[in-house]
Amino acid sequence: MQAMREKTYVPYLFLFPALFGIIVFKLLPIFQGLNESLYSPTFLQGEKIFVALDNYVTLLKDPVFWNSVKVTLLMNVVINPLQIGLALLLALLLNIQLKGIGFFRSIHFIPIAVSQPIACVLWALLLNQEQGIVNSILVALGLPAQPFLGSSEQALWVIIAISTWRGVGYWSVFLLAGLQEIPGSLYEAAAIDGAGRWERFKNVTFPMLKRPLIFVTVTDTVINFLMFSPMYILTKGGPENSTNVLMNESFNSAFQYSDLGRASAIVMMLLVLILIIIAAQFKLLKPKH
Amino acid sequence: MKSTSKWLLYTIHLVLLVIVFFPLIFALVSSFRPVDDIFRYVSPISWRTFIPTDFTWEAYTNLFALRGYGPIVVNTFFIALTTVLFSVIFNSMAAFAFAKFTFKGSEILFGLVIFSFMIPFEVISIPLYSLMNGIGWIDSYYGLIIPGIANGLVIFLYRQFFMDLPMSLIEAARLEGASWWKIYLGIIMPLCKPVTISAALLTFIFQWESFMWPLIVTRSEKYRVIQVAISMFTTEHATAWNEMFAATIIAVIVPVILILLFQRYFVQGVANSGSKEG
Amino acid sequence: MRKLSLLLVSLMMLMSIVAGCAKGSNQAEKPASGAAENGGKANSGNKTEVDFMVVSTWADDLQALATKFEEQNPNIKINFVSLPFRQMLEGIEVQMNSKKPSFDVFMVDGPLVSNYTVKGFLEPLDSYFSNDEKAKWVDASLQAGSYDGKFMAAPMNTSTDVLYYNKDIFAEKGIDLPAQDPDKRMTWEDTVELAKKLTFDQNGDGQTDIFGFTFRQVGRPYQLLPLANSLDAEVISKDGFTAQGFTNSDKMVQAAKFYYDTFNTWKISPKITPDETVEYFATGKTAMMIGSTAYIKMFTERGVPFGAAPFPYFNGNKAATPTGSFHLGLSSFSDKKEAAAEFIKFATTGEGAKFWFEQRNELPASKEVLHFITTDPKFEEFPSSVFRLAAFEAQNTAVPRPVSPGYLEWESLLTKAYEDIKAGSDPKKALDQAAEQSDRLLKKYDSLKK
Repeated sequence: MQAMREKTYVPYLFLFPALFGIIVFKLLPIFQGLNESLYSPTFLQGEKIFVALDNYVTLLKDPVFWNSVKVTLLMNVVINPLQIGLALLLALLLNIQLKGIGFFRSIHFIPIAVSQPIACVLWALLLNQEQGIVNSILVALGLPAQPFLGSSEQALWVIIAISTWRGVGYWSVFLLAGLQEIPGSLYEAAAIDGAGRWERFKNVTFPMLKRPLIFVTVTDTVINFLMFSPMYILTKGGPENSTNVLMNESFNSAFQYSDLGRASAIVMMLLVLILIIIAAQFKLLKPKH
Repeated sequence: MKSTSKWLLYTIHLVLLVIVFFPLIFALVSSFRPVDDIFRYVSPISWRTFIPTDFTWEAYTNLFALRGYGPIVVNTFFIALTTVLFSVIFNSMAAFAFAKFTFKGSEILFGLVIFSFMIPFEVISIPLYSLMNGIGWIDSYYGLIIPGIANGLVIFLYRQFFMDLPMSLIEAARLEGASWWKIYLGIIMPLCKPVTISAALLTFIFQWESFMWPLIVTRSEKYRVIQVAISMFTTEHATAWNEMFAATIIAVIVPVILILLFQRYFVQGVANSGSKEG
Repeated sequence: MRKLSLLLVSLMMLMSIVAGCAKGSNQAEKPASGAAENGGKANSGNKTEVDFMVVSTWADDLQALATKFEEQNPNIKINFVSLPFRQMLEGIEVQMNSKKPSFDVFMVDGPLVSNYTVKGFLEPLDSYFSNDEKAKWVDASLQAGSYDGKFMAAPMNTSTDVLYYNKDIFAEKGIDLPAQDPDKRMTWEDTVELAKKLTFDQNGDGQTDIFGFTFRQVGRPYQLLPLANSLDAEVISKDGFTAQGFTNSDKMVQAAKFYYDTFNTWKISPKITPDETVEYFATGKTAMMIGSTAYIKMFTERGVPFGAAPFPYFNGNKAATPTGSFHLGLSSFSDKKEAAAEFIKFATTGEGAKFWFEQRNELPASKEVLHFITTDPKFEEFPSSVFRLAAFEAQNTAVPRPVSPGYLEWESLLTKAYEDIKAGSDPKKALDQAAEQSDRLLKKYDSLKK
């Protein structure tokens, strides 16, 4: 290592403020949540009681919880490949030199500025069942008006579409940055070897893009597993719990059902689920040394 | 490039442009309409659907004069900028330590940093709420700002950049008797403007767009931020559609301007975090 | 190295100063609307500041009441924390769970009195109100504000709903106006027939523009339970712990089916949120709306061509109308209980109660004010005569919502079920699920069973 060996306390001083913040505000709450999940509220006495794993056992027997697990997984199985695939395609498209490409690249930064809640409010107005413009367009095209968020068959897909509208540009920025770092000489070498377009992608682009791709995949997955604001703002988990993801059920448990123990237990299970999935993604995508 | 494929590419770009801009343009146009006109021309579709016939600033003046959006915007700015300031200082300091020192526990500690940025706010928000409760930071600027300062991603970003700086730079300064603090502040930091800008931008946008945490940790109007204000607006004044559109435009325009201004640095910073090994 | 640690310390200090300053300066900017600091300094100047958590739709009216109170009590200042209904409920949970004096007085929906009591949110008011004072409220409201023999929250007003209709739309379709007389109460079956005629496409684009009928509180049990009550359903077990077999009983399902049909079979109701319904009616997009007396003033001021008829009932069954009192609760964590109780007393009794009725137009819980409505000649003319109708309903047909320590959970789940039914779910299935989940969530209150 090229780094310096100096008086031993110097690096710790530099580390202290940020690490203090991370430990107190990020790691400690995880343990606190774990602790909270072992308690149950009581009434009239005002103290909570230790119930060990009762909250977990109760959850595992609760069909509403299992429905939330199902919805969360279903959404993620669709949304992650969809967003990452589209982001990759967009990055490839934006990497093709063309007059005015700088302008087109800038455009895809714009949705980053639209936060998830704003995107929801905006699209909810456009998709309004009674007087939304999207339905007007459908009717003008001779198609039937759609219920969108009012239908248990469509609501989850609408949320996926809204967050994809917002997310793809953002992730493609990371991938585009990766693409631009691939030296042109590699493509030239491949071209001399007579590689076709697909082979060039498979043998040059994809391997060189693995690192940003891991980054994007992992971060996007985490974000989507924890997605909450569309449900809070648009559907409240409905219709028929079709969008009741684990985060939403946890939020409701804490602030509507007066049960912080249940809320924390859900979050803990969600955390374990996320860590397992991230580990699997790393295993699958990690470049071989 | 053949001109047919060129035209094909332009067509694709244009279609994407429409998809990206459609909701925003519609919001912008609608925000300049009187409230009664918002849905008047939606169905059936005509040119009037997209062009305001009675142009008015009413929605914007209402937001600031009646709905108190002035303080809300100022609040959100204050929270985001304060977070950015401390985030840049503290996280770059930590990154400096990780990049330029060997010390006991450095690997474990860096592991914790990486782990922390895989656990975003939402997952810890409820226990964090209990913690804030204990300290008494519920419904205060402390509660809004301080938990957002330490940020694993920002540390990671800086560290990548610092690692590329030649050690000789530091060694030379050390030989001249410069303190570590001086090296960090006088030599290292001025060299990493692009990272600082993209870290600042990331932190700013993160705070500007944060929703769930402010929703939980604050309740009084005094601390209201724009994202929460808008989500409440949809229930409080559900039919003041023109104002709703105007509010979204206000919430969007600030980060749009920042992003377009600093886009170049943003890509640079992002390239650093994404494409190199951690 | 000392320099470095010095810098670190000063940075930390700077950080707290910046955050501290911001707090201070912001307070200086908006002295009127800001809530008092968390942890509460009780006095600013010589005034005791009382923080009041309210639902935002009521904020303006309550502000008028508070101003009146402040005129008479110059030593007390009322600060408002106003939130939309759902956020207010969440806000109460969040802040009360912190067990800190964050607000002093808050609005309590009648059925939540027991829930908040068992969670320890409410300070008993027995020591602040004499028995004589308590006897001045109608019995139902006093009961709603009590739990286990203790008086927990003072009733501000009760409420009842009528059927509003838009005269212009009726005229456009050549339909006779419904009578206001409770003896000529329409059945739901008649109402639906009217609504079908009043639902039409005005501009020929193939989408319905004018709808026949809507509930003001789409999806909320307050207005929907009376449908089941008309069929004589018991909506939850007597002790309030069991929903299965009650919340999903045949009668509840039958009533929910009616609600389903208004949207999905007859398509006489727009699928909108409760936040949009009043505006829909006021702008002539809905011909009839079930709503509380509180809208009379607004409709009159805005020149809405409205009339009012009694809340309908199912043919061959009994008339049942919604009612529910809204109370003021004193936070058990408040550090200015005396001043807060002073305000609660003013707002719920005597002159304050009368002022509140005139301001907000919800049916009063005070016997004196009710007496004033039934005797004063000013209530013979429309639109004030609607209050006479409301007073009649309160005394003859009103069915209060059920009592349960888990009312909050039960109502949330039932609301969700009604939302699903509006969207097109099978009523039986939706209510079955709500009942099942409610029983699971209410288990935690088992220790309260007697």
